[in-house]
Amino acid sequence: MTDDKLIIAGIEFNSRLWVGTGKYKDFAETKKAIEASGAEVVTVSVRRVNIIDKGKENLLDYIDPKKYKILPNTAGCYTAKDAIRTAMLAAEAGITKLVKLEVIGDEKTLFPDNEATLEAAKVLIKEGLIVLPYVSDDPIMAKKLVAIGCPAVMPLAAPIGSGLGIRNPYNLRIIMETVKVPIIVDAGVGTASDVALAMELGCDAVLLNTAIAGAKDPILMAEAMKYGVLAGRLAFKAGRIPKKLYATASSPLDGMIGS
Amino acid sequence: MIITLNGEKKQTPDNITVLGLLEFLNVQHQRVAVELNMEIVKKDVYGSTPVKEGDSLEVVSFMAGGCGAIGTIENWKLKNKDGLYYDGRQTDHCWH
Repeated sequence: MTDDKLIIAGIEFNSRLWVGTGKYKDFAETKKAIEASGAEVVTVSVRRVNIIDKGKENLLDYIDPKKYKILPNTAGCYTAKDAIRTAMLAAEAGITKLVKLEVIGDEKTLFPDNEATLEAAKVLIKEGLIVLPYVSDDPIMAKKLVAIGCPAVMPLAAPIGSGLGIRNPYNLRIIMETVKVPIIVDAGVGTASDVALAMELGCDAVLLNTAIAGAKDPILMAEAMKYGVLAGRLAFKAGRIPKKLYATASSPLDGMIGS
Repeated sequence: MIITLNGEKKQTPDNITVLGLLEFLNVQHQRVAVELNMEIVKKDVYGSTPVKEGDSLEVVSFMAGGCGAIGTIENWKLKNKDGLYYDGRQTDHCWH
């Protein structure tokens, strides 16, 4: 699988599991979980520096930007304007031009505001950023985002942090048939089989956070996710058998006793 | 002089640049991004950009995060005490 690289905007990704860094007990646990997951891409948010408590440790002291690909996000932004501002600041911090664009439309569901996302993406692409947008599992939206220059699309599997898994595998399939850019399932997966399913469908990668950070044993779940992605990817490449209603014997009839 | 820093009033030395301010604050400027009165300040002009009385600055960096915004970890755990916290025994997934 080492030659099975994912390439987005000319950037090579060695892992098809991308992980967030939120909700962990502490940075030590974050680091352990990320190591166990085998993920190479790590999402981070952009927040005000704590001026008062400067002694506080920084996430990047644990997650080495030389070892991992840091993917800043615009998490928590509810307007295109805020998301643009946040993404531009992230780019200015100087680590990467990649940004996971999310513009949230509603506090309760955390569903994306697709219209605002498209608007923000247009501006950010013009500014030279590599925009990976978090969107609904909507093929039309995916098409519009690709048309303006997004090199990948990140449709949700289910609401952020819900753990509901792949709620609409058919939409994901249609998205993959509609646009010819990598599809990264982002948000809503709950466990390793969800991740495997996404990969079996042919998605190019999965981004998750809560499913690992919220598990009883995050480190163990991180490892499970690693294998979920690998199993799903291999199964996709291998090509599954078609589903049939009736049985097909797998042993020969010849040579049976009494025949 | 008084400036607004990350939304709060802050006393700083007079006649200071962005670079000087970051040094005064003891902030590692390699990993931050700065906005001065809503405009991003490029790193190469930190040393030549003056900060004036009443200016509003935002100094941001990368923090832990996945999707959506959450409060503190404590808030998140509280929110999830009422059944939302993932528990292997309660799961009813596998509808696919």
